[in-house]
Amino acid sequence: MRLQVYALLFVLGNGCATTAVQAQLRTANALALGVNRVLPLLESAYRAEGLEAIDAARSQQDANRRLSHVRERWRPVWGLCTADDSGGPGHRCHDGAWPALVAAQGAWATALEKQIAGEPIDRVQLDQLFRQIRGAYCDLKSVLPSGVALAPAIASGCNGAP
Amino acid sequence: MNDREELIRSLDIVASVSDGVARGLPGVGGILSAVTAAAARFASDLVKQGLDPVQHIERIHAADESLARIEESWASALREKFSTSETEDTLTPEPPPG
Repeated sequence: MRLQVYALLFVLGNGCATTAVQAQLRTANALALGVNRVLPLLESAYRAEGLEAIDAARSQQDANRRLSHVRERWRPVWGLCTADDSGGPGHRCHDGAWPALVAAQGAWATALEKQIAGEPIDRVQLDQLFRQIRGAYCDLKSVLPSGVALAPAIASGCNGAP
Repeated sequence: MNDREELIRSLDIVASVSDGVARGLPGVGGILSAVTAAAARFASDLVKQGLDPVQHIERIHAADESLARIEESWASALREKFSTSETEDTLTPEPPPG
């Protein structure tokens, strides 16, 4: 059970002092846990849309046209996905809200982990990274196709508020 | 209000707002909201118990590989429905117009 794994992660940290950095750490962790549960649902909705497009098509050309429309609809979320020409498997996606959120949360988490490991605390950098991830989350919320929505976690700053 | 209290309050707000949104949204939207609410409540409960996460932070998963598999499933469905090996390269999106 994944929840038990997460619980173990939390338990491992028992007893540490609560600081502003740790508050950010817990927020970054909770955000990833929540968003990672959302990802399979988004993928499932995307896959289903494509299959529905194929089912509704009268010819292969029609199916390809409908699939292109599905990809376009979701492109703001996933970005532009192309075959990975660096020798890696699969393909690589960029310039989308999801890749931006992954990058922003990763940078934030890495900075927090370094500071927990003993590096001097750079509150300016942490605040910048926090603003970046909040922006990325708001962007994702704003580009989700109609009929798909995220809960407003850490989204109190969306809609133009600082 | 110290950091711990502030965090608990924030997570509680996320959980309660998410619950409200989940009740008001049909279909996928409701599911996503409910899932996020559950995660926030879980984190809030643990913080209340003094079980603080440290050392390692979960990373948000990239979607790249899953999207490749989705493209493969679409290509497979195309082949199955139209019984031809002449499917377009579904991994390469069409170039933008112009």
